[in-house]
Amino acid sequence: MNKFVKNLKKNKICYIYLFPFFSLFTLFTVLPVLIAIFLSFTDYNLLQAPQFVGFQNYADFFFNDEIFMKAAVNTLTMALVVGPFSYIGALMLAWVLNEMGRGVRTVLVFLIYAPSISGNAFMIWQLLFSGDQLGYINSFLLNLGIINTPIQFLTDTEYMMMAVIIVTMWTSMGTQFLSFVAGLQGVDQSLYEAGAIDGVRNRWQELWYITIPQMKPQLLFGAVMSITGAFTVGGVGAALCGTPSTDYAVHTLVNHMTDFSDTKFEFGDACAIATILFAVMILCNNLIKRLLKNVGT
Amino acid sequence: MTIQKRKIVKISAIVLALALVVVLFSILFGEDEMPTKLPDLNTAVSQMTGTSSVVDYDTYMSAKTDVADIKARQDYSQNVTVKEGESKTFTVDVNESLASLELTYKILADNNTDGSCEIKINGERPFREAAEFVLKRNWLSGENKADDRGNEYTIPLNESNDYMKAVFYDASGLHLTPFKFYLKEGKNEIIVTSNKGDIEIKNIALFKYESVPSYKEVSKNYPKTNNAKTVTIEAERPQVRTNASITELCDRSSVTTIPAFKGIQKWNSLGGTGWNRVGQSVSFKINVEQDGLYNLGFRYKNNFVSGLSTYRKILIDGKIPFSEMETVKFNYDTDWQSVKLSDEKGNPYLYHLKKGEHTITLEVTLGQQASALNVAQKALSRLNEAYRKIIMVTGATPDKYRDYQIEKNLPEVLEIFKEQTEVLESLSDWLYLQNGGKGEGTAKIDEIVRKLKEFNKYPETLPQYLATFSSNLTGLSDWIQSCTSQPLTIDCVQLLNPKDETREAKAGFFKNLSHSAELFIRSFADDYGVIGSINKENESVEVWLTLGRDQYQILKELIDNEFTPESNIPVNLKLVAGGILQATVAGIEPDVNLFNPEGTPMNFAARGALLDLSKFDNYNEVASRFAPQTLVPYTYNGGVYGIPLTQVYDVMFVRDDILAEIGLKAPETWDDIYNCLTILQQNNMEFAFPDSGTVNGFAMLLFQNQSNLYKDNGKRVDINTEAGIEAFSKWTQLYSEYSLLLSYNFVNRFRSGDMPIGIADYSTFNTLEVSAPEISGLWSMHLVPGTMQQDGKIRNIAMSTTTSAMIMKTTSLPEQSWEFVDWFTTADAQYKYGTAIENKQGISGRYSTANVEAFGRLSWSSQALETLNKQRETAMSIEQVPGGYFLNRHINNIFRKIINEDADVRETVNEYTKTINDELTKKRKEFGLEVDE
Repeated sequence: MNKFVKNLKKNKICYIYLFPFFSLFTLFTVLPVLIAIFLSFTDYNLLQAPQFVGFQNYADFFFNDEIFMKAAVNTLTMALVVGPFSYIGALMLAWVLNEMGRGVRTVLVFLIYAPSISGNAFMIWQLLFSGDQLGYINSFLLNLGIINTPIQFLTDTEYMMMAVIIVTMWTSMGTQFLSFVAGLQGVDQSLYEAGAIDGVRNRWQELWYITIPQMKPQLLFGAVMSITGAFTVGGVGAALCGTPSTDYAVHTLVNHMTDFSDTKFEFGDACAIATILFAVMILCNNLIKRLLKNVGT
Repeated sequence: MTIQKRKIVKISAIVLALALVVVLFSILFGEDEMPTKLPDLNTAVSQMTGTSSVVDYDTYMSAKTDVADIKARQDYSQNVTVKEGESKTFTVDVNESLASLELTYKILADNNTDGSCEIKINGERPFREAAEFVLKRNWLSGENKADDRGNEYTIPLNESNDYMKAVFYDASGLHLTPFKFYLKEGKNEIIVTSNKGDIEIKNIALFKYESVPSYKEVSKNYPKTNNAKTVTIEAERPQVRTNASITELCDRSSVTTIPAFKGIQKWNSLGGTGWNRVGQSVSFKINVEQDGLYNLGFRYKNNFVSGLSTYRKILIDGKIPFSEMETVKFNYDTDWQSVKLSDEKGNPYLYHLKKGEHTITLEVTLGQQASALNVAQKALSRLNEAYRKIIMVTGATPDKYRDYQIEKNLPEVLEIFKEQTEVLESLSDWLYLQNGGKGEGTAKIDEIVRKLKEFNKYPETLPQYLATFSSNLTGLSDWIQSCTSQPLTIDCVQLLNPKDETREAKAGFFKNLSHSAELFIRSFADDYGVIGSINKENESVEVWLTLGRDQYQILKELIDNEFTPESNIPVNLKLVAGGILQATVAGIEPDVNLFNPEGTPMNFAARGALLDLSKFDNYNEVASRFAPQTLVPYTYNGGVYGIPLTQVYDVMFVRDDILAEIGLKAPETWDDIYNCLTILQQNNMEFAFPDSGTVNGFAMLLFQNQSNLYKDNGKRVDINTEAGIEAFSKWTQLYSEYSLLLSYNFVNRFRSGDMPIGIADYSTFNTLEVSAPEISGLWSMHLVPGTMQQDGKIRNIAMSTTTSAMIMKTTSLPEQSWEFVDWFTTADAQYKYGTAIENKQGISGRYSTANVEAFGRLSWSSQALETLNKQRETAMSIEQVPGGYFLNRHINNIFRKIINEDADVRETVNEYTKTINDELTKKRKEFGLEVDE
């Protein structure tokens, strides 16, 4: 106890500097998470006081709710396709771009990053995928004579998943990509020289033994972003295919959560989903950290 | 040697580059020869007269060229009132002649919209434009009102008691001189039918319109000496205006707009976008102190549509002083401008005014461009006609690999194209010379001309470029539409001694800087956003509104002027961006929330957050103001938790012209629809059924089949019955067998003619009225197709959707809150609110009130009103029950499964019925309602 107080006194200045951020972080991140975890054990309809129900909400999801399982499968599918693809894609793209001249690089970096800062810009995909015979993709296919009735990309269960995955990938590349570009820029050039002397023979070896180990922090950041991003997808599907989508074909856990909170006013269940997502994400982050430890060795 | 060689290379390179530039230039600009001679648009007009089945004014006049004008003016005084929808006949006795008409009248109506009438001569409408003449009314400026902080707010206008005089002009402004009517020898009957408003007619006169002498002639008689004394009138206090939409404005942008904006809203200018339609005028009273020759000056702003000048006609004491004043141009600029009206050389015009009071009137006119727009409009309707003929052969999305043999099948279309190429080319030249350059209009016209030429040369390319051609036509129509809008803001009107200067348009740099600095400092002290008195929290009813700023201001003013003074209940109206749920959770909810979507009240009521409104004493009287069905969604467990404010329902829109062309009548039953579909599809046209994303289309079919969505008070759904399965089959067959389109833009396709029949909600009427002027009068609204019953009656039920007002349970002022809701839903308040919005936003903002009486008083034409009233009587609402959201989503799932996967109807419906019922039971248990086990 005494040691703790002493320590506190010793690092007074640090704590004072930490205080503004930490208080905001507690207020807007830690506290809400704790409240959500608490509410996940209750039956709460927002307008009346919550009632404690134990693990009922969780039990319902796992044993009683087909849609939850469907949403979990959808989320996992999206995470597995979008996550690694956009991660590796972004890394490769950043690596290639890094070889280009400064001017070209700046322009291309902007172009690739733009989709993720432009908010709802993905709505242009609604025009592309529109089920109207005048929608871009449909009219293109109709003109080529490949199809003869417009395809309902956003309401026909056969095509919905594909459409949403494409759009999600398009929006999710940006942030990782930007951090990779920054990481590549930060690699000490003398290391390459040293590597050349020590017998690095080709660019792949350079990438694997020098570049990637040097940008581990950025890789970790990118991976965390990609995992959390992949598990919280839902906005794109909801905006393109409606909430809920036809036969829950692109219903993800986040969609399921908003369905509970906004439509059914069952906030306890919504919080339970949030808690599950939270736990899954923490698990994944640890997993990723372990994986990345072995990179370049 | 090498040096010489280099020189040669250098020189030849330069020569080559120059040659390239010349070639490029000739390719880019060579084809376009700049027009030099102003083409005569009258030949273009005469080329197109008599081509359409409907006789328009130009066609009418072209047959009457040898008839003389009437000799002397004839007056027929008679005091009669023509009620809305009724007619009165005036018998006149004349020699065979052409005469213009003048009406002296008063509109008796308690709203503030224009009246309108139709003229028939000897039992027949002489030409298309005679179907609607707008009869303006004069509005006097009322008292200025200000809130306790000195902010002025909109003044309610009073109507002038005087009779108005109107000469019959083209209501669309495409003809600048008054219409002439042909009268045969002897007795003629002139029939006046009122379309809108009761018209009290005092006098009707026949006269010959004399053209106004030019400035040159008028100025000959001017006196030589001049001791004019400059007078300035601030525009924000006009004597009369013809429309309430011409409003006082508070310009904050310039320090020279007097009075300058100082943080408090004081009116300092007039007009804006509300003063943009042909015929709308404003009159100012000016007291002239000295006889003399004056210049006329204005300080104005026209920053509305980039590059577009707007036009006004100027009258002094009710007369156009000289012909140059028939069209006065106000140029476009982003900032304020000052002008002395002057001739082309820049010499200001002089106006001879006697000492005493004069009125100066500015009336919106289309000016010089009227004839051009007339040609463009005619060309457009010819080309639209051609387009319709094409799609009858090729369909709206033709197969570009098929040879449709256009030359053989559609020779008349190519004929129209050839004729219109000439017309549009001369129109483009005319616009080029008049506006001194190319602009949006010429670009659009040139594009069409290019297409037409190509089509004539290579008709086989027509199917390929049909979609582009159609959007080009829409573009032309939009351009015409934007040109007929003539907004203008004015700050002051000045009669100037020729030696004096006009009010300065812009302030100097330092004056501007200090003004901006002052406003910046003030902005810390004053809340510009809030107008009106801020009432004390506890004693006033807090009302939330989730619509726009216009609606907020109108309602606020209505409350301050009518509700609070009478009831002595202060109201604190707040404009919010939704969030009623969050506010309720946080405990800061209002007393009353307005314009809630249909599902909200039930959801809140089931969780005990709302007051049961049926418990209030005069609930029954309030409820009787609406169609009984509109209360259904708000009834829950024996209580009523919402009072309807707006209501929309589906009606059927029909293109009469196209149906007549392909020999169809407007369908009345579903059997008619099936018959129509075959013929429509033969002609490559489509039928629009309500979007599959909502439950309305299905519910309509189900309800017409005498069935319901729920049974046992919402305990179970009732869709797996025989009637339900039949409705599902009928619904999905429309798509699987009759291949209706699943997604489409109805307004665009209705307008182009691809979808001549369609079911859509009735507010589409407003959109069509505003955005598709080229088809105005060619379409109508009908009841939705019905299902024939065994007794031979047709059940044409449509689905209705409402929004409502609700009172929160936590209110500390339940009685006062109810009194507010009671007042706001009266016919009077709804009507006033509705007209105020329509005045501000135009027809597109027409308010869809749920109050039946107020609905009838809004400015619907009597024909539209009849259909809408009939449809409302049969319109049904969807019950809101706990868990009802599952019905909507699963009806959609059933639909998609059947049409996408070809699933069995009965099996699919049964499967989903169980899912829905489970959710209904779950929710009922949650709310402690009785369930079947």
